[in-house]
Amino acid sequence: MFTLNQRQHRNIKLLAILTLLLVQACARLPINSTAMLVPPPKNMVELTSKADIIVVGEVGEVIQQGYYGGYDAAGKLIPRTGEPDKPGSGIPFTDFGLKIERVLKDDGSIAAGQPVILRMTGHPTEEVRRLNADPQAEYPMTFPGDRHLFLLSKTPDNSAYGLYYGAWSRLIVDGDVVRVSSGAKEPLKFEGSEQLFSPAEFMNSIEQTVQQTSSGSR
Amino acid sequence: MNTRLRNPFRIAVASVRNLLIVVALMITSIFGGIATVANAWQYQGWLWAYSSFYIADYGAGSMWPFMVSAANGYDSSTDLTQGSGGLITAQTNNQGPTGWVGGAAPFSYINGQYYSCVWWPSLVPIFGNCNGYDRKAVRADLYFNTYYPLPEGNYLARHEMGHVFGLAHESCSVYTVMKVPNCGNLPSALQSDEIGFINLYY
Repeated sequence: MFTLNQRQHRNIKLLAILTLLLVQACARLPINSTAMLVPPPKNMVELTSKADIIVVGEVGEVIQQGYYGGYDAAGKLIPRTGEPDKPGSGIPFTDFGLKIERVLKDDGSIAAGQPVILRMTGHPTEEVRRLNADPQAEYPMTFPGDRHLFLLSKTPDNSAYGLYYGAWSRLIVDGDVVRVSSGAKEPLKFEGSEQLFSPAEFMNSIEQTVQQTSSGSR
Repeated sequence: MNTRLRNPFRIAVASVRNLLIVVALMITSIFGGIATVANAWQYQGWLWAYSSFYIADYGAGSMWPFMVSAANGYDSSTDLTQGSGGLITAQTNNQGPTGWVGGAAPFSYINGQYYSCVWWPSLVPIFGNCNGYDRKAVRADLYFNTYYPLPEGNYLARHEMGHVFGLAHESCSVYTVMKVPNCGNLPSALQSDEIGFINLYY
């Protein structure tokens, strides 16, 4: 009888452990970000007007990475040398080179032969790559080899470009329709519209918008 | 009653008790309580390790007065108190075109090591690093990016501090500091939703 009792208790303990493991698995379901992300652009004009250059290209190798404390009044990057990933160490950033395939808008730097550098918040570690795979992550990290349509805004130190609208400034153009590069990869739709865009028509539309806005501002 | 009959009864009681514990843990860990009309909060994935906190100006700039106001608000409206416990810092400046306006980065502290509760740039929880039982947040850094127009300061400071204490974003239909700026009609003072969550857990 004693042996049976022990076995039963062992089974109950095992059941409890298995259920707790299930809890851990379930606890991963609700993805809640602590980031206050920039609201998506309402239309094409809003999207393109914030970009200094618009290109289709592939993310190249990491050029530099570190931590920073924003930019000073003169626009200079404030480097942080604290212990990595510890409190007070600053915001992690990574600079990637971009291999450009097609230019839709240029602020003159591409024509001048300057390299285009993408500055992202975060570090492309293996752990982040694993976490990145979560379809509910609203703003995944960039990794070398990613190919996108990039709408890039110059950083205050003029040394790199960032993504003004986050995942909305880094679009997926490899399929039938243009998609936002969030974890869910939802098709791009502007506010109040159900219109989807093929990559070709979207890029044409960008070129037209850029042309109209630049001729309008002359 | 002999032991043959008594033991299965005890086993059944133990099974039910264990099941109830597991269900309670599940509800607490995932939902932070059963949502009702009065309590619609969303649980972020961790809890603050203390029933108190203090703030420090790590270049909080224009957000510092709002941080002070938010800290006083949590102190006076909830069971959390100011003065000791874990440190919450704030940094406000031009952080460039990052895709985010603000964010909260809490840390747990286990066996002499800090662990980030979130990963950049999504600032999504790393569940192995922080939780509501043995890996609570002990310290947090808040960032406010003036490259973008910041939402109203009283709302913003209370929102980011809410994340630190374990509150997640809330739907637009609930009047709470935890809804996102897109929702509009943003409260500048703490509401019953977040007060209810904090008073339950601290």
